[in-house]
Amino acid sequence: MNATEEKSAAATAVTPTAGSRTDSVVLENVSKHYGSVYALDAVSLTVGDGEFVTLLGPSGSGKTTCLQIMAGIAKPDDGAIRIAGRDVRRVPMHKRNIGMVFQNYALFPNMTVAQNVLYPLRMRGWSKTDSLDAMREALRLVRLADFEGRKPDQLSGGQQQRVALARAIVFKPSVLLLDEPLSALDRLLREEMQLELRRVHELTGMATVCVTHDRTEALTMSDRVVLLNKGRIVQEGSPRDMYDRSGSLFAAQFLGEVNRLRMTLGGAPGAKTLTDERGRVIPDVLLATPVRDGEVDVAIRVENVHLLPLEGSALAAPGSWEGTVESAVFLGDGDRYVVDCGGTALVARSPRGSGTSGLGPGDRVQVRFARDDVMVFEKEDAA
Amino acid sequence: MTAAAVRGDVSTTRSRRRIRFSSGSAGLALPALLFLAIFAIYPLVTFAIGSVWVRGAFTWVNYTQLFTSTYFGGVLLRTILTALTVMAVCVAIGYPLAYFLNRVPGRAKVILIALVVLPYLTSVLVRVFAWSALLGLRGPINTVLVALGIFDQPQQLGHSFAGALIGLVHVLTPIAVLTMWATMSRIERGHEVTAGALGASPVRVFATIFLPLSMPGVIAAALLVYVLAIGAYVIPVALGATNGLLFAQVVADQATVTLNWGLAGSMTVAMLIVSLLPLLLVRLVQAIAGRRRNPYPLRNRLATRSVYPAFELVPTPVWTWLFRVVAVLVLAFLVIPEIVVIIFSFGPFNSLSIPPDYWSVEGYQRFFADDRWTEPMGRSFAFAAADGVIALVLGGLAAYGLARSSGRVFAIGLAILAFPLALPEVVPALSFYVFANTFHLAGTSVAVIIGQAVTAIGLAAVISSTVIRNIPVNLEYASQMSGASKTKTLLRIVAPLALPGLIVAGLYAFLNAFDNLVLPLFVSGVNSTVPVKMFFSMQDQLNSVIAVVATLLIGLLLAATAIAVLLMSRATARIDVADVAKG
Repeated sequence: MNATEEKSAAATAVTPTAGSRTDSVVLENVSKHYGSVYALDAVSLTVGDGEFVTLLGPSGSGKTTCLQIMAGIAKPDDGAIRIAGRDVRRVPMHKRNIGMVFQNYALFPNMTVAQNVLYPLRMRGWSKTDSLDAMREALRLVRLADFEGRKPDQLSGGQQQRVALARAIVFKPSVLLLDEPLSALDRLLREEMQLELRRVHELTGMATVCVTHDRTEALTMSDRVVLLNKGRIVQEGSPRDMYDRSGSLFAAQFLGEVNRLRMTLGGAPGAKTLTDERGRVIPDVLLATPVRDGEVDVAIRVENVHLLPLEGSALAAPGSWEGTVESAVFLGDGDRYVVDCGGTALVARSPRGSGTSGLGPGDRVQVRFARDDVMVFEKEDAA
Repeated sequence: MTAAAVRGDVSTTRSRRRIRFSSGSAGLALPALLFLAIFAIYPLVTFAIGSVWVRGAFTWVNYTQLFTSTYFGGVLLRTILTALTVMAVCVAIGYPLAYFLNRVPGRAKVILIALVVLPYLTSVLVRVFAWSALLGLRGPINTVLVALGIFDQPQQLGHSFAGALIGLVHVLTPIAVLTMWATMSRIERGHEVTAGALGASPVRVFATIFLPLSMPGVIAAALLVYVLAIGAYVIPVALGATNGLLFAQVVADQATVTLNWGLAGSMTVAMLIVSLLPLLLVRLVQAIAGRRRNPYPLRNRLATRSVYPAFELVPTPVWTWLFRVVAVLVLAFLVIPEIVVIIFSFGPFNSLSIPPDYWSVEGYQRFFADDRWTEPMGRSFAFAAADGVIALVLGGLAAYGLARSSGRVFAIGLAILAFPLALPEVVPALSFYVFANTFHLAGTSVAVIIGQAVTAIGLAAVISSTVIRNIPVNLEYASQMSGASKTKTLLRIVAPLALPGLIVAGLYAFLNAFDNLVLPLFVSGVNSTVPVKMFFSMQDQLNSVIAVVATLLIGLLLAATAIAVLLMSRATARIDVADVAKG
């Protein structure tokens, strides 16, 4: 504890700049371009002590460049970067005190598991007994205590991943960087490792920055999600906030499957109504942020489209839409429907036991949306 | 935690005098490039300039002399025709073998590739010797031909145009095969399976899918064979007829006998231009085709419209067997001379026949008792060892620097390093000969070592670069993030992983220098090496001592290859044979 305090005190003394003294990583207006293409365009980002932050975005969004700049693999053209309060722009990567797990693990193939994990400690000149203790503890943490003597090529992908993680955290770095850590694993293993990474993070309390293009990964593991697109931060927040209150159509679409509708917003403040070109309405919409009246983009998550079978010639309740099931696909834990609402196709996902399981193509249904599930955005020309 | 924090601070204070590799790792290629600039490029450029700059004044006299002489023109024309013939034959007989290599599964493939690679790596002299003996007046081929009643009496096969052709084809076919195979091995099997599933017959699949996709390899092989055939020196001297001289012989005569360096320079320039013409032609066609947005003009036109109907007239099994039979025959053609040489070495001293009149080790006894052989052997080992080390250090550094640079820098850098390997063999040798004489180095050991290093460096760089490219750069980042400096990372991570491959690179650089004939032939003087001694002995008399030397050379190659295979079977960073063949 003493050491931590001393260190941060020293750091603040050296660089008396903005940002809390407990922030692990701070990027300020960082830009990086390759040729005429901006990989990062004045990005500012702060990772608090012990925080798990995920940089999410499509390929080319700048998320990997961001990580490379933190690691020292790439140099920013402009902007400031601090790790544990220290300005690291001119610090080479071996002195930045960061741990990193690479996409393909980058285990040293000529060394055993134990030697791989001991390597950073040897490079730091730790004593033999300290090193062995730390190595054993790290391997215990990733549940590989019995694998010390194995070579990397004798391990499964998931095990290699765990060794890479142990090697990255064994020397207690200021920050742990994860570069698409799960992309080389198959789906089942990936889901297991998501929880595993989260567990290790909770046990170590180490600030972690993860880069991924997989929204499930981002939503499952992070304290905070930073969504990037075209070299800029689009939105950041807790996974729940980002999912439920996406700030843009792009964010809404990137974080989950949505139905996108073009509608017109109108009505008195507090009682806003959406109307589509056929005159159908979604009344009494709850707006997360103020949106100007007129043509708008509406996004409704597929699991928020609720279906109710319509018997015989019954009519849809007021405020609900009427439609015909076009196709139904069984997903195991639920069903996925495409419903034709008079020219507008809506996708709906119903969990098992929600009363829709008997529906098939040709069945008439009533379609309902909850008022706070409807996300409304100013019209975007290009999606 | 405390310990880590404190040590972290200590290391920060030491950081000032660290060698910076960082992003400019291509700088590691500088020593090799500098070496090449001084000992290959500068000699070549001054040699070429010497052809237009006589006694301090610019003149075209050497070129007018060259182009007005019907003699030189005639030789040049004959050389071009010979090169074109050799090119056509090598590609035609090489294609089925390359195809066969590509199709044979598993272990058999490794053995077959070894059977192509071994002749490829065997000293040209060994092969020349084998053919001289085989084609000699009292040699096995004449014996068979006479016995079969095809000829009444033995024919002059050895020193004839046919002899030179056979020798050239034998030496250049492995190169053609390996180049084409390198391209074929990258053609995805899925394309053919798809075409087959869509209803194309196997012959049609071959004609419309495989053949067009393998065309780049065929063109590369043809160009390479042509260039090497244009500059061939050893084979026409040893196997050709005196009235059928090829251009390289005439150039060498001008430079080393007549000592007319200006004229030799103009002839070298002419030879380079002639050898590069087809390459320029291909590029031109590609450029024109590219503008018409049809990148593969030959492919589409030739293959899909006119060739396959003709192919389909012959049933598929016939094609399959034709390919296999040709492949096996070509393989036999490549390998048999090596075996013949070994048999000769155990025969009587003065009579080379198959089977030998009697078995003996007379040749071996004479070889080891004769210091006219053992001395050059010792020198060859010493020179080649020096070259191996130079090549490994300079080539290895360059390979690392280039492999860690951008793709374009890598390609350009490696091309510059490897260019002496792709020149007609007399060109670097003659320009270095003139260079060595100008600086009074000719005849010294140093001259031989430096001259041989020029090609050895390129070879070592090409092999090492495929090794280093197999070491993911992320391993280096992982090491650095673990706290190891760039230098420590190189020593602790890169070096151990690359070591087996680097040893192999050094080994083949050694062999390349050991087998070098043309350069020491011009430059070595009294410091003659084994190949030089062998070359002169062969012109004197064919006996079993030469067969013994040839056998020892084959043994050396086999030993080196065995070590290489052993090293590679345990290595993490492997050498991609296809990569090397292409390079």
